[in-house]
Amino acid sequence: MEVKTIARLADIMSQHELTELEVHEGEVLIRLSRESASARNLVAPVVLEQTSEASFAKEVPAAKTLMITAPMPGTFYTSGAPELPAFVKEGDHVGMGTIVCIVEAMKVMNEVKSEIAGMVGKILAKNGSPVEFGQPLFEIKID
Amino acid sequence: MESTLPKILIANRGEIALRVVRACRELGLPSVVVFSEADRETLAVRLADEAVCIGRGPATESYLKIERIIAAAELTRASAIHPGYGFLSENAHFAEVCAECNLIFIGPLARSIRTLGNKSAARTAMLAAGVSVIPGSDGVVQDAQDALRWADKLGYPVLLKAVSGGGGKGMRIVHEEAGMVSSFNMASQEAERAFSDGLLYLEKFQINPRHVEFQLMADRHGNVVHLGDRDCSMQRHHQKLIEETPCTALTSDLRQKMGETAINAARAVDYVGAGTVEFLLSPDGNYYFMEMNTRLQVEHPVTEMVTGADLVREQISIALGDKLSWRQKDVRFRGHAIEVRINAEDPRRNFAPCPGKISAYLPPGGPGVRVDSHLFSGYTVPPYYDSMLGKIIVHGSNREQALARSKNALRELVIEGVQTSRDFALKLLSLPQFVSGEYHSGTVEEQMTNVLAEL
Repeated sequence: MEVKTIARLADIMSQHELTELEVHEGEVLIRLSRESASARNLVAPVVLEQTSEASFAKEVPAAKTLMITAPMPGTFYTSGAPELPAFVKEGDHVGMGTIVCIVEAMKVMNEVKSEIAGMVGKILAKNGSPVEFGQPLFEIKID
Repeated sequence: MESTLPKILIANRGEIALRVVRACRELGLPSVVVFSEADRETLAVRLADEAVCIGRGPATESYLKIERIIAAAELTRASAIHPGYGFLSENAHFAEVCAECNLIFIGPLARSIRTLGNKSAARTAMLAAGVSVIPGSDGVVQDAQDALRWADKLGYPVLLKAVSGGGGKGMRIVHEEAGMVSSFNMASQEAERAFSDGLLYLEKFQINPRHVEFQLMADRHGNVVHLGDRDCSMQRHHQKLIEETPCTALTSDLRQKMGETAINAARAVDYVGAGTVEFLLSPDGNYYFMEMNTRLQVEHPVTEMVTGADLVREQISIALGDKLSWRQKDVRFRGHAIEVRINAEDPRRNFAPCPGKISAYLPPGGPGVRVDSHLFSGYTVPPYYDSMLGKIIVHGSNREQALARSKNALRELVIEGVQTSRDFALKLLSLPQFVSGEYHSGTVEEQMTNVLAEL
């Protein structure tokens, strides 16, 4: 099972407000659970279990991956305006100071700049969605 | 479907955030709590309908970040902000920003906060309203020479105080002429560092006064009532330890006069919301306006216990435009209430704060016992904030019963994992001066050596 499948399952859970989901695929069992809306936390935690030594371990993000997180609460935008292309996409290289996204609050578009150099991995928040302080936005595989 | 009920954002933490969440639930209003990373697992966060992380542990990176609080209000479409106590609750600028962003600030107008927050301006406003203030200087004292002139006029000892001050900082007692110059300079510098304002004013120093405060509530329609007094004289370094109502030193005549004075003080500044007028009561029975606090106080539960009022619910209702729930004649007092604060500190090591993990917590219970606390077994007390763990409040039909209940409740209380002031508080409750009701604001410090020796 690939990491992007797990991410998709997490999305499905969020969309349908599910609190638990269990999937068996071959010898691999995945159980995902997230906190219910009464104690809302805008990140869905993912719990993984292995029933056999699947090739799973290779697909977990490598140790040299860091996160760019939201510096404040607000709305996450991947580009400067709806018609403009995204600042960065998966596979792009970023350096210190590269603008990666916008977190908008109180009508102010705050540009978020990378403080590390590396390659953009998964984009962890949805364009236009609310984010809170510290919420992971981008995976960056450092050089 | 989006609710049309006003949503209340709580810009605070710990026991007061929990208190406000509970009031919201009673009112049927949705609540959202903002929290720092250090407070992610707290009860207020769990019980509120929504929660938004706004920064790292230190208050300057979270609870004092105005723009992030407003951003969270925007994100969650909150209608009003309850600032609790401490943090931004008496910050006039924050109240203004809320107004500019069409958010209801649950508290007084920004200009009332500003006037009353400037201790010297507050005195002037009170004088103009005919409220008697502690004899003192006419506004700011420009320099040590000016201070000497005032001290000469009023008589020593005098107290130099910071205009923008609070919590005992920027204060110096001056017993005689010779000490004025150095005291003036030290007080001014301390005030500059603590409040970014080194201006001072001067008062005649009151020897062993009692600290008696009156709870006020005012709506937006011009109605103001007082909900009685609280004796907060049991203090250490200007931090209250034990509060009770009614104050044993007040006759009903004095209570009535002071209550009226407090109401006049509120009217003088167009006050709205919950507020507390602090008086100094001197041994000769004279009382003087000391200052007015423009927020809910930590010790509000003792007032709630004897009046049956819910002050937080009332704050929210008033902010949303409702009239006051009571006229003065509707306010009745029943019995006696005592509150004891429990802090995570070690009295034997000069009250050093003791953050850490609470391995076991068992609150007391039974008739007339109320516990306002955010603790639970397994909770980690963070190092970034004040050390208060909670308040044990008791009600009795008379003072004797309340005192006995208070001691029993404290004995029942279990908090393991961190040092607390529980045993110290029990000793205070047993002091002959406290039992007799004949104590004043210097009692705790006078008796400190004896009390610590017995711990």
